[in-house]
Amino acid sequence: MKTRYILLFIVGLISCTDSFGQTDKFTVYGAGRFVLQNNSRSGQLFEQSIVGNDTIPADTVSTRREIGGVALFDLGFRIKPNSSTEINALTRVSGDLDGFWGAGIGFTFRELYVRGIVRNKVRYRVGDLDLKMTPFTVYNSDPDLGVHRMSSLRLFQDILEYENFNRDNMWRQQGAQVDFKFSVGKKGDRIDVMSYITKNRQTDYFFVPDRLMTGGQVAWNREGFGRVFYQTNNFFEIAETAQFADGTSATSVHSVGAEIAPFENKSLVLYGEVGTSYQGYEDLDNAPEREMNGFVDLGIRVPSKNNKFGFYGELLYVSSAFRSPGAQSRRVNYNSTPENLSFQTNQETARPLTAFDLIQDASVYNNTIAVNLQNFNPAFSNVLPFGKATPNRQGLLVGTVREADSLFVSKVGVDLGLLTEVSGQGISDYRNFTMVDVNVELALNQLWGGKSETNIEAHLHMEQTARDGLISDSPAVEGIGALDLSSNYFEAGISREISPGLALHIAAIGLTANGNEFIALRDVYGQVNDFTESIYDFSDMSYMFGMKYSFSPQSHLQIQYRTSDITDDLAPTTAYQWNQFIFTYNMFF
Amino acid sequence: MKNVFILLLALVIAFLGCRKDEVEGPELQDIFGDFEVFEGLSSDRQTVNFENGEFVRFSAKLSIRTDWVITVEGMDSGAKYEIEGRERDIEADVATWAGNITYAPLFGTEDCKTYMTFANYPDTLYGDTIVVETIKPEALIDVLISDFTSAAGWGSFAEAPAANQQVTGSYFVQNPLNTTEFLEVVSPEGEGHWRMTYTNQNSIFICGANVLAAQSQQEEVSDYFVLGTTNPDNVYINMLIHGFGDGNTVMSIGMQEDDNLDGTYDRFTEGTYNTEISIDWVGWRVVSVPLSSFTLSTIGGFGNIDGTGNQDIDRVLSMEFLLLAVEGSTGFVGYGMDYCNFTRYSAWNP
Repeated sequence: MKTRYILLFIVGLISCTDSFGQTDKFTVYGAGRFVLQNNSRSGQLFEQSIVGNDTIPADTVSTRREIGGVALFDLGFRIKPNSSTEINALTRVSGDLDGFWGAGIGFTFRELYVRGIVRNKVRYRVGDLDLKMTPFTVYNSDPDLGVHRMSSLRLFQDILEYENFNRDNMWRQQGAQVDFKFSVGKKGDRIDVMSYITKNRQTDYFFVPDRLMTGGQVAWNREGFGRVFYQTNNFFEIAETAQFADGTSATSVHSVGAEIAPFENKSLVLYGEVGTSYQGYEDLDNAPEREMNGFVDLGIRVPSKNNKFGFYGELLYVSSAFRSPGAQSRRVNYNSTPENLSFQTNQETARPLTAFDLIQDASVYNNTIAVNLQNFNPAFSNVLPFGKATPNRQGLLVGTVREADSLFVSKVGVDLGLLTEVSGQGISDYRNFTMVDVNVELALNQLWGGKSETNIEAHLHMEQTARDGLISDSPAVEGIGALDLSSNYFEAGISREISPGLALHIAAIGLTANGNEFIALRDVYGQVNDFTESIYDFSDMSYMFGMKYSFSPQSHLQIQYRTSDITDDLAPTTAYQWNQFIFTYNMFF
Repeated sequence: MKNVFILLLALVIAFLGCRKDEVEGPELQDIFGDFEVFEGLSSDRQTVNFENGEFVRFSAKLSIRTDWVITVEGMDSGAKYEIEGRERDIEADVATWAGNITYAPLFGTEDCKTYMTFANYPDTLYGDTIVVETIKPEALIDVLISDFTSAAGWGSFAEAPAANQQVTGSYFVQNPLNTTEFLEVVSPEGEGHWRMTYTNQNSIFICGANVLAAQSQQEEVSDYFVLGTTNPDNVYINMLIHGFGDGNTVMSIGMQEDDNLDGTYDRFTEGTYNTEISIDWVGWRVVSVPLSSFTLSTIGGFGNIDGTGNQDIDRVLSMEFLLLAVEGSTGFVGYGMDYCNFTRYSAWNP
């Protein structure tokens, strides 16, 4: 009954918007989604196998098929009680498809903040904040597999970023933020000031203290020339909030940087940032000494203009103990269990994440900043798993890009990374990293001048990691530490518009990884205290086709059938095939 | 533009110089390598005259870092000196013997065998036999707390089972005047020693002993231990502790301070500084602990409030030695204690 009243309340509010709704003082916004899925799996996993002299029993426990879905409706209210104040509240009503008669319906607040301006000078925001500074201070780096999704998968990406508040590389936090700007000098120079304080972690009242994050930026801007800035981001714990806390930790990052266009036509941009980090502990046993570490990032960029290629080149140095949680926290959580077909084997172990889980499943993503370096899977990302702030990296990043809607090659981008370590891990030799990322979109209809879009999209991301092993006369240790890991991820597809707004697509994605890697295990202070060697020889291929109808740029209906083959040559008995039919309707308003 | 490229070239060269030789984390060779002995255990001399200040230096080379123990054992006395380490290349800086002991009794002028064992591998490497021609000079102490040869200066106590529900069954404090012998242990020094044993039934606190400063055997008569310094970094408490190999015994040492200098210790208002020693060996072992590693009691009503807010080693009125059991353990626990003393500036090194 309660749920019914809530729904009536929401419907009432929506209907009100017709009469007094979309005014300057009251606006509604939100999203609606309906997803229906039919997931099934088959393959060797469910059959008895014989490996050598061992008989591997068939998986008789795990689910073969799951049918389900979700309907949800987000309704936000933007209220302006006066010209200098705005209140935003976003509510969500959601229910599983099998939640008959209202059972399983959830009602939550997804977003709540107030923002405004004081005396036309100081802007403020309290409640939910979206924070971003630079890739070395506060920045929600792109997830593993990147963000170059082809059109047949872009709807999933929009949903993921919406669900986890990851848009534009922002981190969603809760706290308060103020910013203001003022002019200085006679050349129109301007100083921008921004600061924030958020609560990063909630105490458990006994052993885990509250953790706060503070920071800000001061930037000097000169119109037509560029800007110089100082940034800081700090984490610290409040010992008094947990009566039995052993001690506290604190991390701070400071950086200065500049972005300068020396020529009037802005045909060249020089940019760079230099910074340090400190990590300290109080009253914690075996804590490492407070140590200063840092990074340097210097680059040059020629922007793409008038259908010409633009390019960039960048030198990167990040020391091995540089710690910047706001920039190094990862989006993908490899300790999570996927939402679909969650378990496998008779022991009901969590199904390892596949490429499609990362593309489609919002639940495998972190949604807050973690102070310690998180686990990552080298098969998915090994060159820069913590973004540009990945510790223990130095080298060169270069790339080129061109976007031209009216040309046959409507988009092309190539990025190359040549990096090495700053310190050896477990051995004095360094890992050498090579990363190649190619992204191409071809507008076939430009060949015959057709108006209906026919596009071929391809994305290739290759990573190679190599290191020489130990040189010794003794076979007991000769070659130890040698590694050679290569991973390749691709997306390729073709889409054809058959009537206005309606397009058909056929596509494939694949992730393969071969080789070995030594994964560093870290203690609670983030220091490497052990290694485990992992060997990879797997293939994760998916093929899909479907149709998508766009009611508007922000409202889509997509129907897709996909089949995925996941094979691991090192564990052939776990190979399985995952078939999915998915109906998705999504709208943002 | 030309200047920009020169600047970038200079930066590239500078970056290439930013390489550090340090290795992050433990060495892979130690984790993934096979155990192999490259060079066996050897010593730089076969005869030694400790009285003249001579040393014996050991060396060995292994393929990986692993926990090892080099033992020197007197073939007549049974005295033992142990060097523990985890190095791959074992050299004099980590493996030197100056004639001292780890386990009582003292070495005599005798032949000593040397061998090396490993915690994770069954191998034993035998080294040279070393002839001790003269023994090292006697190691001096500064304050003798008790050698337990008489009843003066110490007493025992225990909390009754009714008062402390963690204690059930009977307890036994075996002191020098008690003629009942539960376990045959020969005193390592003098004629007596202090011993506490108990058959533990999931208890933590078992029983304890008190030694009063005024009745201790220090030369200067005082209410307090006269340590000659107020800096706890510079004073060591040393003793011989007998372990029975049970692995569940813990000795707690408390230093009870008379913070208000009124001649008595009030456990509610004056501080007790504690340390704990896990006893996991068999035999009489030399143990030394700097007083700076003692920390204020955390048990309410038992010295957890320090009247001065500081560790005042010049106000220590009495010492408390407790027999504790590892939480959750059952069965025999116990230890022996002898020749308890303080030294200044360095640990006792008999």
